[in-house]
Amino acid sequence: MKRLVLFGAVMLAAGSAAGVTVKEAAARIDAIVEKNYAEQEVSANHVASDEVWLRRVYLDTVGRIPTPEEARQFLGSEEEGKRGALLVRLLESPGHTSHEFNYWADLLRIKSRLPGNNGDAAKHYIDWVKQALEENKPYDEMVRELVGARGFVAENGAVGFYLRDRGMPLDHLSTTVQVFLGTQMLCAQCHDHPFDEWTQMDYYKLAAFSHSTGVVRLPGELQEKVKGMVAKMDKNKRRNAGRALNTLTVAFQNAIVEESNKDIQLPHDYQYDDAEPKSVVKPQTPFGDLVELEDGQRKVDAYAEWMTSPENPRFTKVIANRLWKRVFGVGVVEPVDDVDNAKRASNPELIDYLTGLMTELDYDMRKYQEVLMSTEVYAREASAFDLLSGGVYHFPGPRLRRMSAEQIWDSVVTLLREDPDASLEAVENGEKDEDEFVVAYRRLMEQEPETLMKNARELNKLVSSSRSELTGLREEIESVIALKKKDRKKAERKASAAMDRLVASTDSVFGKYAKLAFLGDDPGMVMRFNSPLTNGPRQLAQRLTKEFPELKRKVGDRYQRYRNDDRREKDRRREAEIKAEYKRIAKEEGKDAANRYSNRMRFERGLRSYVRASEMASPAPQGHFLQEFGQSDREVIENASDSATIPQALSLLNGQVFPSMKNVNSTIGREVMTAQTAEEKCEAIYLTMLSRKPTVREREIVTAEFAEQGAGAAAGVVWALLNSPQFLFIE
Amino acid sequence: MSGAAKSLLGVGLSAGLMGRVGGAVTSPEEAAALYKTLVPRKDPAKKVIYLYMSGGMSHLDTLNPRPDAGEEYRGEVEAIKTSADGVRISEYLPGLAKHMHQAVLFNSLHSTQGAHQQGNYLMHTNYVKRGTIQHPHIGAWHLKLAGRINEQLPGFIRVGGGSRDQGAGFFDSTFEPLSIRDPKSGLKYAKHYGDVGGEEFGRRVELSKKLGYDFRNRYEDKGVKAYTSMYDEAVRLMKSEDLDAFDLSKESAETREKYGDDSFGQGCLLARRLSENGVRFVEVQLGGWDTHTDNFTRVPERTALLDRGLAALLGDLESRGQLDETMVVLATEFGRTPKINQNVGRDHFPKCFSAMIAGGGINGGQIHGTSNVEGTAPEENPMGIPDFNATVAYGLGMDLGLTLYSASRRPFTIGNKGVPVTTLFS
Repeated sequence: MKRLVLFGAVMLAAGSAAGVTVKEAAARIDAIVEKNYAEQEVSANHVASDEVWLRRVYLDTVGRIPTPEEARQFLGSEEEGKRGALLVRLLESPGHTSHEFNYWADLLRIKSRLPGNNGDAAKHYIDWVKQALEENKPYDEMVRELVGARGFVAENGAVGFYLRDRGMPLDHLSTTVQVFLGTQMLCAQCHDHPFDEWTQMDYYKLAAFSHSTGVVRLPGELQEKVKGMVAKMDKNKRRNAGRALNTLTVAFQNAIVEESNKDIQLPHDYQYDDAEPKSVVKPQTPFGDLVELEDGQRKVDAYAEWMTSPENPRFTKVIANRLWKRVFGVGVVEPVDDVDNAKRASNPELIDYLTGLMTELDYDMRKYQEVLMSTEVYAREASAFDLLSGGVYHFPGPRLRRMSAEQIWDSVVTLLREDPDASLEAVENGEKDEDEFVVAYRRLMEQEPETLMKNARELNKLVSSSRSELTGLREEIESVIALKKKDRKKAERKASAAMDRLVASTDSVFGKYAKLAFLGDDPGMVMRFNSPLTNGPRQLAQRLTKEFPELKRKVGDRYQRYRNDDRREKDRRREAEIKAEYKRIAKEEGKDAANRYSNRMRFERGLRSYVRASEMASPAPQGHFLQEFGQSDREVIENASDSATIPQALSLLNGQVFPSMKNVNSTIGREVMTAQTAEEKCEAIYLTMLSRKPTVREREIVTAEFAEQGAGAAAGVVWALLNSPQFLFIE
Repeated sequence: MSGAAKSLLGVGLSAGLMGRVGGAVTSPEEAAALYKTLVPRKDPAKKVIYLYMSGGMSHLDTLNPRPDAGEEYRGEVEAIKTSADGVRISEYLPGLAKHMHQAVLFNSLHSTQGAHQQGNYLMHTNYVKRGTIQHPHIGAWHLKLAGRINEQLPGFIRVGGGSRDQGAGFFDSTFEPLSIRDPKSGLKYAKHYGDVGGEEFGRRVELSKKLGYDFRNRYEDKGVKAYTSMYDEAVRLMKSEDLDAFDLSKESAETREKYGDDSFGQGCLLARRLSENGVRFVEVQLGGWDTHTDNFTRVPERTALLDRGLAALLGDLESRGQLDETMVVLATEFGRTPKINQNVGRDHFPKCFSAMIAGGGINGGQIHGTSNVEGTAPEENPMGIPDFNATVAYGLGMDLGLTLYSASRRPFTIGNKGVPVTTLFS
């Protein structure tokens, strides 16, 4: 299925480039920008060297600096058109998906945990976004699929767009409009907008489209059927039935999105004359085409159509401007998400052309960025410019930028690991088995409501009887533990018996549970999916094995979630491979070589958490390097920071990165070790860290350092460059 | 200035407002008028130690025991006498009871935010959480309005804390708290690697400067300059005598013992050291208050830590002559359901809960705002969270009505329409 999707994407991409070539479009942009230089009395910056361009293009496309090997290859090449060829290759590599994901994770505020869902809902959403970026799904299509998303998250990850803001439909509208339409309506959520034309009524009319799309307990049709059945019950029975159904579907809670027929009402304190407080509001759009709802059409689909229509004056302009800013560091229109309050476009002809280009390219974001990075403007040296200064930037070249937190981290990974993208490929290749979660979901939701209700009631009974059984067991276990101090032998015997009972009870209950709730035979599903019994028995088992470790073998893998098992299994296999390889090397190449190998493996193992930022939790955990360097906490749109802070400085001055860099098994360590003379070592350090040759002056300083300090100077030079701000900036 | 702010100020003072101190949250017009006439407190508290009980501290089992309520409410907890006449608190807090003459209890707090994150956000920022902006922490406001006391040390430091806490909000990053995760290990990466002595370090710093020279001079850039000065500040901090403020090993074993060996206790001690060294605002968090089950097992575990750390802190501040200039705030996101649930627990309860202010020149030994007998609703002087925060801000001498704008040009004040109880401060 994955292959089919990819095939479709290739066709689309091929179709989209038909109208205009990259070269023509880039030349047109250059002409428009240069015409403006004359009017604004600005002169173009010098053309950037291959070295500067190389580092910049790696960071802008794949989100990291080039490896020394990649740098050597490009800088040493005499090939005509080598820049264009590299650009295309980078844009099509997994690194590009990773880099784009970081950007969209910030815009869409994607988090690894979705509210109220203990399962993998967020992961499905993240995978959906990554997949869309990898396929280079046209932007308008991507937005339509997000805004119009419905269904079960494991089947359609795009519904994460709604799950993300569960229970906050009005805030969700504000952010959606801000991201995709560059319009800030949030003030109008509570009162008429003080600066813009938006009234609170406009806001509610627009909200009326998506307000009724949200989290449901059962998918659409089934929900209706169940409702019909439940409606006939008396009040008490109805409540019990509701509870039972909730228990039955707990594994799938906060994972299904549907549009309901719920109306939106004005707030109770609505203060304007055009309507009464609490009156119902019908959907209507505040600008662009007027939308007429067709019979049977979902409101949210009409809304998505309106939003992404080429007739919508903001939709295309906003993405064209956002991506321009991403490449050049300043929007043609600023701020990018408040187009109404933007100062006049710094170059109106340019933003018009870019908007047209985006449409002409059929919203192919990759091709669009290729055009921008193929311009002469992009190939020039950078200029400093303060975004908050109130000044206007006329693009004599790109703006000098501090790297994003993700770019810094991924560049550190590049300095350390032989293949900085290894973590990305692992994800790409990890073909999923048929998702048992989806299978279980479908099986359950295909049932007739009567069967569901019967299962739900039985499940409810099972859960409560299991709970009282657990309460009994808990008391028993506590008394056994209390006994341990007095009579160890006796306690051990009793503990063993208690564990037997716990395990037997678990197996029986989990088996029944899986049959009722997932219509499956595998008791392990209770642990893998969310259930009211997932934690209780495990905690009891832990309590007991903590006091009586020898009982662990009775527990087995009963209380494991399979993902951990998977990883452990993989680790075991890897360890075995390493051992075998060590033996082979020792036999064929001798002890020293084997020890070097073993050291390298130990180093690699130590770097296990040094994976690309896009493959880590979103946002990264508290105190992580990424967080210190300003990664967005993904609470608010574009919430990343590029400010300097003390912990950043301390982390680079004294933290864990430098010791790893010094290790001979790191990329930089290897480069330094392989280089022979001071001169060569200096070149290796500069190439690895800054993708360039040292200047004459730098060479003098460094060789003087070597002359004074001997070979040990290398570490000092690496440390000094890591802590010179140049490393953190994109020229 | 924006039209919105002007129209707020253009409305006259409503009759009787000034007499309604500590009442419910007012309208924007009333608030603006009040803030305009409010004289900032003379000789305000200079520093804050803010103790945050994350998860929702049960008010009935701590600051507001309800001995006259039925057993299904009060549970197993007795009320005990304190050093303040007529003020009783839970038997779980015997250490704090000895300091009650220095503290004011607020037992009539109420909020509409019954979810952890939202409640936590409101208490810390004084604004309801929105998906579209980040409001600054009250500590960031304090630092912004009052500035640093000690230029060598950051002005806002957080010890412990959850994964996503509020910070600078829309202020610039210099108002972001410096985060110390483990008080026992102090400031992360403040010490240079073992293999590099002082001289070697200086040499490398020099080398780094020499090699960065061309780049720094190539661009007239704010960001590049910020890094240059931040490195200077970090190196200064590393060498600073005041770095010892982060180092708990400088305290005697006896003192460390007094605060308790846990992270919260040691966090309180660290807060005292930092505060003494001129850090404006230090927050210390204690989690684990979400007692849906086994309330009467779990609350005493928490209160044991809280009582020990807090009593030691207040005792030390007093004996070291710091209590008058240091305000100690005890806050949480909401209370717990007064009626005990079937799991012998208490659930989230924002309708009525408690907080405390000690020191900082507050007229201690009293209760401001009471609840009904069961602790289910405020009775006398109900206070919204903005009223409470406005009281803290007033005690710190802040201008409650000073309007600051976010990057998206939205206006904000620290008071956020809250009415401060000015009479608590003389």
